[in-house]
Amino acid sequence: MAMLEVNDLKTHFKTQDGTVKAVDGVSFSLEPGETLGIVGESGSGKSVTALSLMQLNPKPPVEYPEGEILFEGQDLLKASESRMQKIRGNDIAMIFQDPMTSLNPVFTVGDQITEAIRIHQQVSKGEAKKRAVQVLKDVGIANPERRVDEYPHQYSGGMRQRAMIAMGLSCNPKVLIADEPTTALDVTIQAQILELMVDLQEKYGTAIVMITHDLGVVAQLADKVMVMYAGRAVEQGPTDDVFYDPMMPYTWSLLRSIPRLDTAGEVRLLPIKGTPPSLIFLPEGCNFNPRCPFVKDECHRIDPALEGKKPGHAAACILSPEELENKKHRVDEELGVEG
Amino acid sequence: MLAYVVRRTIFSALILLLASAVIFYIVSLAGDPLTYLRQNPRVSPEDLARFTALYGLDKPLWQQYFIWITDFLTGDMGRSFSQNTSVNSIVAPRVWPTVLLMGSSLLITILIAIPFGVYSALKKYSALDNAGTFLSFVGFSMPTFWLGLILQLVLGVYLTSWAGVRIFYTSGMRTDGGFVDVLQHLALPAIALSVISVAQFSRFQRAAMLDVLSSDYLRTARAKGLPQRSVYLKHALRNALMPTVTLLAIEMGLIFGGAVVTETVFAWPGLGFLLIDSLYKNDYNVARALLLIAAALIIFFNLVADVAYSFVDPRVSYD
Amino acid sequence: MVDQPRGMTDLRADGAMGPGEAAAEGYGKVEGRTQKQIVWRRFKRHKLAIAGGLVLLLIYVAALATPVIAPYEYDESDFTAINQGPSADHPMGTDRLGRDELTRVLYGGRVSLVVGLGVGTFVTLIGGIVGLLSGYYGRRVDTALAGLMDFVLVLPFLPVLLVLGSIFQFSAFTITFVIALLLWPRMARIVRGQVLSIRNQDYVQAAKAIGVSDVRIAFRHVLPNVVGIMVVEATLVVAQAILIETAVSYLGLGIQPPTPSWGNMLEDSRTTMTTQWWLTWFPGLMIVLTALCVNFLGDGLRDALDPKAVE
Repeated sequence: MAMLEVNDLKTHFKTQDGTVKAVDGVSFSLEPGETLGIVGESGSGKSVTALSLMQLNPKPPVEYPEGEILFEGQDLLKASESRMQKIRGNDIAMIFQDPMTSLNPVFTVGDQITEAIRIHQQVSKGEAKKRAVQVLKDVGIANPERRVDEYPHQYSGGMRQRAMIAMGLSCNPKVLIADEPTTALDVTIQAQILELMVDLQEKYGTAIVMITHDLGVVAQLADKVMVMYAGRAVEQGPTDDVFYDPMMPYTWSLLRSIPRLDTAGEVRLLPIKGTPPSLIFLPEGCNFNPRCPFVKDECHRIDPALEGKKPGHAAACILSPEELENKKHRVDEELGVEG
Repeated sequence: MLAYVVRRTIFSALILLLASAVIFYIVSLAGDPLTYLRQNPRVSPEDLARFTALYGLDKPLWQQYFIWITDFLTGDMGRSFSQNTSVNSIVAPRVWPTVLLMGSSLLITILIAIPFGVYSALKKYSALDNAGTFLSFVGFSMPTFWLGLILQLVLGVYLTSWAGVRIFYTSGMRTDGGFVDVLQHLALPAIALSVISVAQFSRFQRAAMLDVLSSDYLRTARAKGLPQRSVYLKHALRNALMPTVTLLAIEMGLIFGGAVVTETVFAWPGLGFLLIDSLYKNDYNVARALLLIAAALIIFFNLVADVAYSFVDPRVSYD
Repeated sequence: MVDQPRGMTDLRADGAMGPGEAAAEGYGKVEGRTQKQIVWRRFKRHKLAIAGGLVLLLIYVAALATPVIAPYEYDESDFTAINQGPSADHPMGTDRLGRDELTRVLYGGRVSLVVGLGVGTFVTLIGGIVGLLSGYYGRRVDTALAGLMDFVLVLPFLPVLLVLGSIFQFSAFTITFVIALLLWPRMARIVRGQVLSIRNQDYVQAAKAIGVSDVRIAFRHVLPNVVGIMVVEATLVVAQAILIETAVSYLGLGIQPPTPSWGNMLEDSRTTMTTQWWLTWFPGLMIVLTALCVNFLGDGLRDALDPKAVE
């Protein structure tokens, strides 16, 4: 059994205007030391998936009508709040998108890290502080002995995210969930933070769930990837497979909408038309059909389930791999791209 | 930090000086304070001249102001027009009752409003929160003087005749009565004065707490595995109290202005009642002194609020 | 600790409307609904605000029509009916001069309502103009005007008002004017803050960059975005002014008898409070009812005009 196994997770928000199926049947698994990338546009349900793992979605309005989240065999959806408190931070830690607002402004960085340590481990204050200095050092903060007593506002944005990572890793968790950890940072700092995460993963053997809308980040870090659209996984598989041979037109469109340096010749960028659908009024048939470049008549009737297209590689599309390949070629020819 | 406080203090002193000039001028609009002496046929011209000189009324207005403010700075608030004594000796005995009344009201406000505000935010839209919202609207809309009258009527008159013994007194304050007696006199004015503050501060605390509850750093605290209790009481409350502390400091400055109505309704022998009393007696030198004291308190506590904020919020530093 | 509530906007809100938030939402259409429709839809949900608005309308209509609908004259004494409790002839009883209390409550209301509305109007005008100028032009204009606001705010409001009331006998008009002169800085501050943040919005900067005139920017971009917050603040000012006027009149330094006002009627009732309860209850309840309605209305407007509220 995998260390973390999510089966058919459904996270629904009950609102006045109806039920919003923010996550609607998502499954994946994670082994120790592995990195899973979850990719999607805003509103695709990737962050809600992450918060579901931590059981941090506000209840109400959130409900989990179906599915299970098995962490080392135990279903977190059925775990008590006090059990979850023991798991959070200790076994599964999480870092958030905006380091500017994710640290409490009135406590020192050191206080906030030692607090995390002392919740889960029986150590003295002095010992916890020593550990805090050590993790700050590990995440590359210069002068950690002095910095540990400073307040978040005295840190730069990149340093704050390092401090968040330090806090996340302070109890040596088995899983680290990173929700868009680099989005709010400068490009140069982004690269440093990602590199840091790779290094730390090797050092501590932590499994990482990397949530991002940035395909580049996934390509760089993830062993396997799950693409989400309108609350569902529409394609998942090993990162290389998904990137080199996308089986779902949405993934293909995503890849074609960003510039790449490694492609020979000139590739015209192909923006994705339209906007993600409202989760209350989903289109008939396939959720992606209003924006799909390869849409057929059947797509308006059939809502395709995620199915294996190749070993380990699944996609939710009624087009066969051959059909899809032909269509991709046709578009490329129209745009004048050489294979 | 120190440089900031010094700069801010000097600025406040200048504002106060300006305010003193405006106050002096406003009160001087009342005209000749000796009118009633002039109309009295038994007051001889010599006496009039003596009084005019005593009050410095023979000098131009700007000189009068200059004398008044320099005396004030040396602790002499001038002479009363209606009583043959100094303003100091009229004002001094009135300070303690006002401090006592305001202190009690402040205490009631803090003890009720802050816990209730926090509770309302945590149990948003619960029955108790909704009741609190409604009642605070009633509180905002209640004229203090009428609330005072109703308290006198219900808890003073009706309750006394129903119970057969006097529980609350409806006016005045005795200095020789002992602790219970003081409480019996203090209760009603303190309640009347607190109702609006409680309404105001409980809503303010609720808003501040709600603001904090939706913050990212509380999610971080939960993600660490902190129990709900510490998330609220340590991480949330510390942040949610900061604006309240500041507002409380500012409120203290308004102590005096706020006391006028309540003290008058309950004939509470404090500074506010003295102001009304001096206005009825056309004793404008007393009124003038009280106005300046009121302005000084406002300015001083604004300064305190500013400095206090830098102590409670590590992000604020005035370097 | 304070006799009169101040600054309720920031206290009632679940989180006060942040400056610029209104601007961020903009005024255009949102998913097929115009801004007006959204505001109206939100307002309609607020049952207490609707009720408050209707009752307030009724009170104002009654005040306008008082000379027609009042059963007696406000100074008409009937010495055969002195100090009578509520009855069919005198629904709110009579006072010690045999005057009909209902009639006097109606006439007294006229004063308070005129003062409330008058102060609301004056404060909106003065505060609005000063706030706009201060926020829009910045620099020296702003420094001067902001300094003026700060200065008025450090004057002890009620004591100054009382001193002025004792020096000059207030009429309904003068007390309106003086209260407004002391109350405008809050409005100006709020408007200033809002204007400051709008001024720095990209679309205003863009309009400036292509040479749109200041006046045009002020009317097309800035004003529409501050109107909402001004309306809300204005309702608070109306309620506050009513409470202040009644308090000053109660202390004998406001509207003078024989003109009835809720404040001086209550002062009149003091001596007979224990025996003639109706003289204490009815005028007071009218003050509370009026202020409550204004505050509910303001709360509904705040919800409706707050772009942060969830649709």
